[in-house]
Amino acid sequence: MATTTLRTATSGIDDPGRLIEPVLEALNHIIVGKREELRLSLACLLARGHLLIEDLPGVGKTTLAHALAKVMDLSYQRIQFTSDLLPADVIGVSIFRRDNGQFEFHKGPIFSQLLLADEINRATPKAQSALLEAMEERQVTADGSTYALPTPFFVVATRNPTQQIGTFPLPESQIDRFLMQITLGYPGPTEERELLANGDRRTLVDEMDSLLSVDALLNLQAAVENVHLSDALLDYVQALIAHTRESGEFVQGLSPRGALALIRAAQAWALMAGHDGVYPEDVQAVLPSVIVHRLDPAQGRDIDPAGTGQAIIDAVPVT
Amino acid sequence: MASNVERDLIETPERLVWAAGIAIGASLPHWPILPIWVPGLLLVAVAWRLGAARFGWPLPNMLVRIVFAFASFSAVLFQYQTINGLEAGTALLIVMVALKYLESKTARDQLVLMIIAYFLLFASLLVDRGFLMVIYLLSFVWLTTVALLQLGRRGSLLGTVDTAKQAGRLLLHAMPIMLILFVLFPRLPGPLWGIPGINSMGRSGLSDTMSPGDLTELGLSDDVAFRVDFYDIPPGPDRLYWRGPVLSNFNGRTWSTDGPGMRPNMVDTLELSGDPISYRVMLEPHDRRWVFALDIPVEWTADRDIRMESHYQLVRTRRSIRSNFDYEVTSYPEYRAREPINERVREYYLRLPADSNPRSRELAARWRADSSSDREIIANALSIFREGQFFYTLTPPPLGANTADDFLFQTREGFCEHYASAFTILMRAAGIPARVVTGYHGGELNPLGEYYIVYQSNAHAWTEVWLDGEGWVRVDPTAAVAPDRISSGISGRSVVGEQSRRAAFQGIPWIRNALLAWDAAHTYWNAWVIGYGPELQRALLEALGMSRPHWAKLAALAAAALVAISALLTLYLSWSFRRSARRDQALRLFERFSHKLERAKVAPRASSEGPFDYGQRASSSLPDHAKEIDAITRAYMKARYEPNGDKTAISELTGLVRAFDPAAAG
Repeated sequence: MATTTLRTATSGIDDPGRLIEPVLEALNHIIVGKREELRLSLACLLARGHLLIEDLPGVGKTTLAHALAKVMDLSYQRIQFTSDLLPADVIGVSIFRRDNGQFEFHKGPIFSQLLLADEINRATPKAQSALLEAMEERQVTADGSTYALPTPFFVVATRNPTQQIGTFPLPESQIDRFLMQITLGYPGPTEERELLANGDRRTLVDEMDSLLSVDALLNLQAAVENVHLSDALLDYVQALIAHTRESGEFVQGLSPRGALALIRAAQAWALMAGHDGVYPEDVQAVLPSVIVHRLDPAQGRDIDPAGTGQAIIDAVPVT
Repeated sequence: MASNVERDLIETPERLVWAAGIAIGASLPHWPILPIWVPGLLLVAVAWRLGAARFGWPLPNMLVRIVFAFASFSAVLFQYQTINGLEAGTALLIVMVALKYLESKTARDQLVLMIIAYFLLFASLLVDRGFLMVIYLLSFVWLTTVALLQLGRRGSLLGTVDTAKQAGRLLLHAMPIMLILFVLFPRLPGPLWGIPGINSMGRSGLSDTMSPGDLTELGLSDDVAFRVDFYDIPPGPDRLYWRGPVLSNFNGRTWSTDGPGMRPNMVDTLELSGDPISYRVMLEPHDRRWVFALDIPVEWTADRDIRMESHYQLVRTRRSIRSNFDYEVTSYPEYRAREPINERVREYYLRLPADSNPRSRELAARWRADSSSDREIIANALSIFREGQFFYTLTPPPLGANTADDFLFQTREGFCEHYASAFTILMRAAGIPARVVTGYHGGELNPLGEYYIVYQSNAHAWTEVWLDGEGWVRVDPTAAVAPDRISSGISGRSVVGEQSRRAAFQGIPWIRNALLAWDAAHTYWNAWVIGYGPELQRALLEALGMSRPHWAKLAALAAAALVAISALLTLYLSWSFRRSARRDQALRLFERFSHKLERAKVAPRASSEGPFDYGQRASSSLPDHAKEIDAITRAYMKARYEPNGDKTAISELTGLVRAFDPAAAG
């Protein structure tokens, strides 16, 4: 792995922590008591990944997405996925203009920097895949023309727990496109009391200042890829991957794409933590949310999905 | 009792299929020598077990399994009347494999099966030590090692190719040990225990009797009888008569060798002339004591083991030949016996059953009356074969009671044994002592190895007549009818339209060459690996400067070489481990730091605890040393995980860890 040792550290960014901490602070003011989840969301964004939130309605998913857009000055759109949603509703539609006799492409809501895809598993697979393919390619093809999506392009999708009625499960190959999946959950009693006392957060979102420019965000994203990966760390990551494949705990092990996602997320986390290289702790921090939606416990293993990541971490020694 | 986890693991079809493949493959070499029900039982057990895993068929419970075990044990006992010996032992082992596979529930069961598979593979050498078998064996030892590695895993199986490489490395490490044991292990003359002559069973060869039609089978057999390596120029085909059993007794239909006491004692003083021919014969097992040589053998190796009968045939004295047998012979192609034979012997070689073959006798009597010499009678007889519309065929019509009469005057179709038999009868009837000699004639030169291959299809029969003043003279009546068969050394079978497979391939050059190349490899294998016995070992050791070492000394040498090789292997392996460990000098320093913290009552680092987290935990539990601990942790993270983790970072860490002493009062 000689190439990894040649990589230089975060060039161009003097102190990423100085840029990111205020953002986290502001978000934390809106979504109370979810410091860790916010950090993960931000890491996901810096790693150029997309975020999947699996949760009950009404715990602040929309607020989080909106706040992220606001604090980083990103254009924001929201699509509510329903069972009758069509691909054109997502990517746009060509309309015949009678005045010049030509078709004109009307861009759909996907053409935004931050897209909230709400309740994605309520839509049919056809509509789901329209979104998911655009996420991977970062471009949209309609009527033979290709339209690039704006940069940065960040999708926050929410899904209802799959046990709920009226949901189409996301295929494994598509769910793989999300870098992380997190769960917000109910707030703690103190935070909930504060929430109840201070009223609707959405008004607070509207009052938020932009704290990070798009340029700075793009710089940070570039810096993530340059965070150093040492041989020792790659050994550790490979041991983790091998465990998912060989332990028999999962139907299938982590794919190479999943492994790459783990590395990328850990790099983002390391950058935010101000580490010059990726530490094993950085990998451990992001691992649960990177793997939770990618690995299915093998039959007969009654593992709480939320505990899966910790189980893997506990099983693999840090060397 | 196995845990559920283990049970789940082996229920994966992949593992069951691996185990089944190895169980079947390892037992396969034994199948031909076993009664059909033994492999049948194995296949049924495999199908049953796989069906249980795949379709949920019910498996037999404990009681049924015990009944099965007793039943199959009794079946083996009934079949062989014993459970000892190669075949019974192997049958029992395979039956056990079948039952073990059927009841396999845990990973341990499967590993036991793999170990038995190694044993079965080893035992297959007792069945066949041919080149092909050894190739099969080595590849299956490899496969079994792959399976052993795979089935030993607790999780899902890894890639077969990677595992195969790993297994290959393991076997390579074992290779020097194998070679040392092979070369230096004290060799005993002959096999350590009696290996039954399975090789020779059902294989054709000459016999000690000859009735019309016997050699037909041999005429079409592609089996190799023996191979010959001439040390000098090989003799021409007219001299390539390999002497086998000499048949002097005729009962009207069948020629046979002399029973004990029937052969008159005859010591010939021979006068030898011509250039001696020296050669090495590599005889395939044929379960008889005969040893083949060209006329007339004078000297031979293994002389304590081989002796010459009075009619010039070489035989092995003690055991019949049940494994490949090598010997060297020097023969003189020309010889004379000046001394006349006595009356009793003359009588013996003139005997014919009364009342048989009247027409032949009459013809012979007429010749005797008209001729002045024995030579003339021989010429008369050969001329009727040559001119009397005789045909050489391997599928002659059947003959009646008077075989010579029927053959000479009616059918006139036959091959060497018909001609030899009829000719000998004519000679005896004419008062010339005669006998039938069987053996092989000719051979095929393998240009790749510069040696001759003599096939069973080279089997031949000819006649020897006694001429006063000359001794026994070889006369080959077949040559009068089918000179091609004699001059080419390869059969003239094409004239009869019936061909052996080999003969059919002779016309296709590349197949012919491939067959010859294969035979050459096989021959060298037999000569240098299977044939590596006490003599070759002694020669090799003498070449290495040790003359006739005592076996105990040899054993000590083998042991010393083993120890040396093991030490070298250990050194090599530890070197390659250390090479990867050296990269992680930082890790070892951090472990030293952890030990110091442990002595200062910090709870040890859990294996999955990150070093940075651990450092923070240590700082908070030893606040007095927090500064040093943080510095060490930071240096360690830098040395191990950060881009400039070079020598300076390591030396900084070395200094810090060395100075760190949390046990001292801060």
